[in-house]
Amino acid sequence: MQNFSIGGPHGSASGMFGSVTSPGILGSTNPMTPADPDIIPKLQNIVSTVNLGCKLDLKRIALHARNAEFNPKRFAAVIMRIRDPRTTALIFSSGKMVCTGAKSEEESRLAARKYARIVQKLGFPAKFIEFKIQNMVGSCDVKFAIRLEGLVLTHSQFSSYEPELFPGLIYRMVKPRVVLLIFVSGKVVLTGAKIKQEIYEAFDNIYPILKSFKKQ
Amino acid sequence: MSSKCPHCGCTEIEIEPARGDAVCTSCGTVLSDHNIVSEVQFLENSKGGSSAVGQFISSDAYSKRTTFSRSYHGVFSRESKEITLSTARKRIKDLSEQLRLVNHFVETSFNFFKLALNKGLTKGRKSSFIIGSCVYITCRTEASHHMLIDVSDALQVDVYELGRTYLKLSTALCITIPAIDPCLYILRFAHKLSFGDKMVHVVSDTALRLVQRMKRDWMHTGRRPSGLCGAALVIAARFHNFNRTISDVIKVVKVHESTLRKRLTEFGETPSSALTPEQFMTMDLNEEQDPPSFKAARKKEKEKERLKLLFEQQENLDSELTEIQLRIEKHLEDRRKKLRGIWAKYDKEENSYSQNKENMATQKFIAEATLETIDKCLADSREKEENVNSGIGPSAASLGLKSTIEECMEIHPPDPQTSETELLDLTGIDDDEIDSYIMTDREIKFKTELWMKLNEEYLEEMKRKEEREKEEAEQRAKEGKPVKQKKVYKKRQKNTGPANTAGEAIEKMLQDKKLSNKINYDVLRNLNGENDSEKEDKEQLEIKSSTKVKQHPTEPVVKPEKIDLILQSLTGKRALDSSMEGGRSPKQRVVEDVRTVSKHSVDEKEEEDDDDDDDEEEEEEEEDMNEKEDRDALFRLFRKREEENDWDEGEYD
Repeated sequence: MQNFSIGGPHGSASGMFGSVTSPGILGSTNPMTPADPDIIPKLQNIVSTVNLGCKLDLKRIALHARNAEFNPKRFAAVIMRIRDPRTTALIFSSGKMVCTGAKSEEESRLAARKYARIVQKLGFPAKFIEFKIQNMVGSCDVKFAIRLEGLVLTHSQFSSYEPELFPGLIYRMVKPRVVLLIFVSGKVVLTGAKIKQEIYEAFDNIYPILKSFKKQ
Repeated sequence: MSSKCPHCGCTEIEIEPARGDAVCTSCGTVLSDHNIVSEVQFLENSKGGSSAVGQFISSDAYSKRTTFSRSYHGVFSRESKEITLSTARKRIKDLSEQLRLVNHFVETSFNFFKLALNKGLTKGRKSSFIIGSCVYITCRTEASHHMLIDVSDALQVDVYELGRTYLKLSTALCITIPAIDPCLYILRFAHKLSFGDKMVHVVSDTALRLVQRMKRDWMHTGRRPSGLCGAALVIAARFHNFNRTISDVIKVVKVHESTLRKRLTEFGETPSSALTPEQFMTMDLNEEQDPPSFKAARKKEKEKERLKLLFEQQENLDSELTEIQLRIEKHLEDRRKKLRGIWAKYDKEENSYSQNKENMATQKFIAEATLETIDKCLADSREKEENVNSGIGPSAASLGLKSTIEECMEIHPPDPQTSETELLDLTGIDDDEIDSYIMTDREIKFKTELWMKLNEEYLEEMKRKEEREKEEAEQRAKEGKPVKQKKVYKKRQKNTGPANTAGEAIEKMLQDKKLSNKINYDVLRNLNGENDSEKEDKEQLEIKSSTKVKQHPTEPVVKPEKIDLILQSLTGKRALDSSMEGGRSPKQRVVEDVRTVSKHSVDEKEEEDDDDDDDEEEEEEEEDMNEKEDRDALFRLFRKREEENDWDEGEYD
């Protein structure tokens, strides 16, 4: 039975909300289901980068700091951790730094500044150039079971569901550009956003769709 | 397809389309035969019938040998794309034989492979992954009973890597793949469990029913279908008095024992498990269960709520305790008072409440006092400032002091530029905390020792590398060569934004895609013949002539007026064109042109930026015409060759 179709990645006319109204059997056809105001995605991880503006001697940093590890054979950067906010940073010899693990944008910025201060105290003329948040991860629970097979049938251009490889459905939303991992238990993970608003927007967009594929 | 005659050097070459020849008119040398023609010729048979002359050439072939090179294992030099395709086909066939797939599957997989090749998805990936993914995509679209793990076993590769490649390929080729149905696998597994020919179908029917029940109870979403099948088969086997243990089943089903046990317990929690086998086969419970992960999540939530309640209760208890404590203390106090009646006046009330009040009062007093002293100092400094004119020494210092203090006293408006300055903003950073992260000297010594020991090998390698580089540098200095510069790969700037004129659009496209150096870019730029592009052309020409050394010695590019002329200059088919690169056989040029044309078409398909539509259309028109002419040339080539060798391909009866 050849029922595969080759279509463009951005799909035919049915966009996000249009497709909710099309299949009668598979879900309720009410496109005006509002998002539940009580459920707000919680930010779990923020990845940011900053340029310290000077070349660094990684050996010196690794040997003079308590919280640093450096294994040049495995990876060419110093891995440094601080307790508050609980974050990890990768510091490269070019002076660029990646900071991960913070739960909010302000925390990420504060943590990055703390790392920069440590590097400064170790004797390098560190600055704080171009701090930028690269990725934000959020998660939430819609509190009802979701029919993933139905979702992948209707939104085939955006979703990819391979139970042999991963138990969740991978939904690549086009606007905003966010990737959502949707699980049958109703938990949703949103990632790929650069600002908090994108995560909220993405969740607001997906909630009515998930509601329409709720297990009755 | 013109060139200089290699013998006499004249450029008057006559091309005979019917014969597929190119002959020099002055000396008579035949420059090319076997040119591809677009005319159909007929030959008479010995029987009196007539047949068309020619061969079928597949659209992705470059030379005529494709059709029978499969059996050839040729010693002849073949086109690289041909080689890729034939190797891939062979491997797909081998894999299909291992998996016992029908020929139809081989063809479909090969088509997927060709699609992937054309889109450039095969580059940078191991061919085993690509082949495996193509075959698996076919299996899924034809709903066969093969799992990804079967394919990875046959290829001896990592199943997750294969899965990753398969996902990327299917999204890139925009193939919608239907979801897996675990029912497909039951029969296959049942056969492997040796139930005997008669009972196999009975057992598989039972297992199918079980799987359907599991589906209705939402146990299958997000799980590997093989796990469910395994659980269903164990139960079905027991129904019919076969003693297949879990370990037997996992050998066939290829999941872990713990997975199977988990599925069995999950099924055990559903109400259907309470039915007897006969009841189960006949009736169907209407209620659907929640998926196990959902149930677990709800349980966790309930636990959390309970804990919270307990915690709150604890807090309430604590507050109650403190209340009781206070009352008891008060009571004791009263009692004490009554006891020590005489000396009561000496007994100071040590009530905590009054103590607090005292503390507050003292603090207030201290604060006020400090403020007073600060004001006093300021007043003093202000007085000093009035004596500036008389005194010399201290005045300057006090001025400086005063100004800084006044600046500090001012309320600064939020500086909009702080986000742009490079200086590290230290607000909110506790210095002590930072110091706690830096080691003392003793610690540094120990860590250094340890680290040096651990990374000995790496340090040795680094030393050797440095010595080698030093030697090389010295050698180069001896030989007088310039110092070896490290290759700096600059990122190619991607063009953003639409172009204003058509000329600009062409410029942008040329910058974006480093197209072949066999195209005369100047002519492309002159396509529209606009005034704006003229100036740019001149600049480009100058730049080009100064930087590119390879460029052929040109006369200034003539601005063509008709599209025909443009085409001629692009494909070099003008007979009397002296500026074109000579000395190349027309066949080579045809092939190169075809390659550039196909590259164009592929690139254009991939291009996502929306360049000026007009320009694209024009170029496509040109390229279409190019393709036609090139195809003609190819046909002529083949015709000629075929005439020589007397192939009877393409004969019609």
